Amino acid sequence: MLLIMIFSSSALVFGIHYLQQVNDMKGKEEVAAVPPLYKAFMLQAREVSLEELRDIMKSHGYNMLIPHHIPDGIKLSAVYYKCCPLVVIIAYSDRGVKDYRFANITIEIAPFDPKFAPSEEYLQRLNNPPKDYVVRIRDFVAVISPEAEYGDPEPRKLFGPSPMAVVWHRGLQYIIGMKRPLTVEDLHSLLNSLSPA
Amino acid sequence: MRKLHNELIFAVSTVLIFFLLFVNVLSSTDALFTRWHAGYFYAGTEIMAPWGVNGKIYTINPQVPALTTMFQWVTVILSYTYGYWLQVGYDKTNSLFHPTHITYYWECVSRRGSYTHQHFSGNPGPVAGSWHSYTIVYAQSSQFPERWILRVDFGTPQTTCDVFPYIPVDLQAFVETTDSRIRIDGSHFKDLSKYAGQSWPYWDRHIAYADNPYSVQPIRRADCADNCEFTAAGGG
Repeated sequence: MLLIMIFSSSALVFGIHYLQQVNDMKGKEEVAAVPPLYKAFMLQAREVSLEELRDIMKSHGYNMLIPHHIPDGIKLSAVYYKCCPLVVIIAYSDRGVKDYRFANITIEIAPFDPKFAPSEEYLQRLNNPPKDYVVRIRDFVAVISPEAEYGDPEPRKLFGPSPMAVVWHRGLQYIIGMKRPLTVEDLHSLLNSLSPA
Repeated sequence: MRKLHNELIFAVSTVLIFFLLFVNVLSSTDALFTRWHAGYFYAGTEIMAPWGVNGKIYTINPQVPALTTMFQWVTVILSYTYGYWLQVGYDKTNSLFHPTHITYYWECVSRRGSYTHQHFSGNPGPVAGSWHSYTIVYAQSSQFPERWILRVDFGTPQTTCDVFPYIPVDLQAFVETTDSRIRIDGSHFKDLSKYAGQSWPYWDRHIAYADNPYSVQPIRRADCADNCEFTAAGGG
């Protein structure tokens, strides 16, 4: 009797596993390809101080914006710079976490050709509240997504949707992300405090 | 004595069930997240990422265990922190819904949605032993600034994607598997190039990368040093 129970339980467990695999594939037919992201960036990046980064960016002709207001208890934990192409990731954490994937706030900065800068007409089209909305703060425009999903499946499963803003300013694109419990109000406060480093 | 025997069997069966459940949870997670890669990260000389990538990829036909996939692709990274990308390539999948086959596919993953592993409808896919050119290039449309073009060979098949954010941050060219038992011997990428406005110069720098048990062998040429061609092998 017990042996039957063991075999039937095992069959049940394997059945559940099989159905989970089927469920994972439903809708997308097969498992998606995922490029190496963290490995790619960290293999090429080096950690620098904020002052060093400001000087590097100035040497490339960029006057970088940084936040001067960060939510209580959260501090700058790491600044990573890679070139070339140039990508900067700034991580802020309440526990000194240097791995940007687990930081409370990240700012990803990349330069772009000004001829492909977003036009006023394009920005108007992006204004689709409450899903996405456009705000003008002093001399820059931000597109805010209160519930942005990660594309990478691992953080998407770990963290779920969270507030994100994309800012374009003088040849640099800023992707600013916050993890919950930080809110879209915290994101607004941070955006309002952006000013040259 | 008989009671002790029954209790022992009960204890063993309980442990077995918990073990199987634990393995089940772990293997489901692994199926989603664990990947092996072998290929090139782009490392250029310019500050701004190029607005396109192109490469010729040789089609191989490896044995692929059940519920696993091998991909070969070129990619434009749109965000490292959020994990957004554009990708075009071919894959060999052994899935529940299709017999083992080789197909072209594309992916556009951004704030606009995760369009992962989309097959070009009506296209039979590449034949093992053939070379094909895979291209991702910014559409440069003032009306549709988020638009990118993803194509195979000279545009058959081809698709367009609207993504946000739309600015490129990096390029990659890789073989990827969901199971390290897949042997990727014979993988070959060549003429890796980047879009430079009106021309497609070869990659001028690179970083080779491979997860164990795979390896990458850069191929040296007169016109691009070892930056635009490589082979990959290993697995099993």
